[in-house]
Amino acid sequence: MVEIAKIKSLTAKFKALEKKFTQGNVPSVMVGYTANYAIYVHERQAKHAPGKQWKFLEQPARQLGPTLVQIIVIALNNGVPLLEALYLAGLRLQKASQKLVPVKTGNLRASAFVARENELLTVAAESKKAFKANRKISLKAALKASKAKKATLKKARTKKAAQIKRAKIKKAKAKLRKTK
Amino acid sequence: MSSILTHSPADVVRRVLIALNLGSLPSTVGDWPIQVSNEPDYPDNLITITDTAGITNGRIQRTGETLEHKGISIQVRGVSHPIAWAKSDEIRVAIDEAIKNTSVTIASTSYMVYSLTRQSGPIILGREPGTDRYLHTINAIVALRQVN
Repeated sequence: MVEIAKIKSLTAKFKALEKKFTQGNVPSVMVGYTANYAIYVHERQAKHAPGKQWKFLEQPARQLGPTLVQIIVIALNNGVPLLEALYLAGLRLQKASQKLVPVKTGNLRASAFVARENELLTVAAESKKAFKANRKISLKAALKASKAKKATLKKARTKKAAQIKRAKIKKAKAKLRKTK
Repeated sequence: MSSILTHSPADVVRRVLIALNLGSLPSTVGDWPIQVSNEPDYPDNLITITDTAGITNGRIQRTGETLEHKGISIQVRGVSHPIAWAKSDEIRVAIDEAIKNTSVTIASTSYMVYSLTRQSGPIILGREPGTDRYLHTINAIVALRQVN
């Protein structure tokens, strides 16, 4: 049977390194989108504008794997804590993903986030707030647009009525001239 | 050199699922036809497998061969939620437990599927707009090689 020599000491070294960088708890960073329809756009193959696609987060995450590792290693070598190094890699992934995400209104692209584990609740609350604010803005815009449309219609109707009135007067005058 | 694949990984996985009686070829009469890359509107109960980005695992220094797990996405469309769920769960179990060192042949070309590893899913996407059919998705990576 083949045995790896000094495997125990190697494992101990790795464990010590892990402890050094994580200080006991393994930190993590999450990259994602808070728009509730993000999963549907991500998982459903559909026709999108050139350069935009489904799997807009999964593909860069898989393709950028070595780059992300490199970012983390460089950051760690420069004395950056592991959590912050992961955050930097997360930002790089978010940037790559936002280039690929399909854009219709811009809401999905704008909902991208990178969060440290302890910030997730804040992100959720912020996204809820942003969604409410966006809805308020869009409702206001819709109301304004509807008012403007009504005003334009009213103007057009008044103009047409005036035109009809003028035509009627002209006709009546012509009839009067004829009878004279 | 990396092995060249005559058929796409999605096509190979389709044959594996057919061999496990989880679906049928669209040209034959079966309950669950399995399509590759395109998703026709008919029939309602349909499995679609699409190739996605894979994961590169580095190179073998001596031969220069690049090792890659190919990515696939399996989408199950069902006329109702229980029907779609049952099928997607059947596929999940097959991926997790049944597929290892499986050999398949497509038109005289043989492939060895070493493993099919589920990455996520079944993800429930809800109802398809306009038709109300239910959509479930499973993402996986596959390690395979063309034998001849």
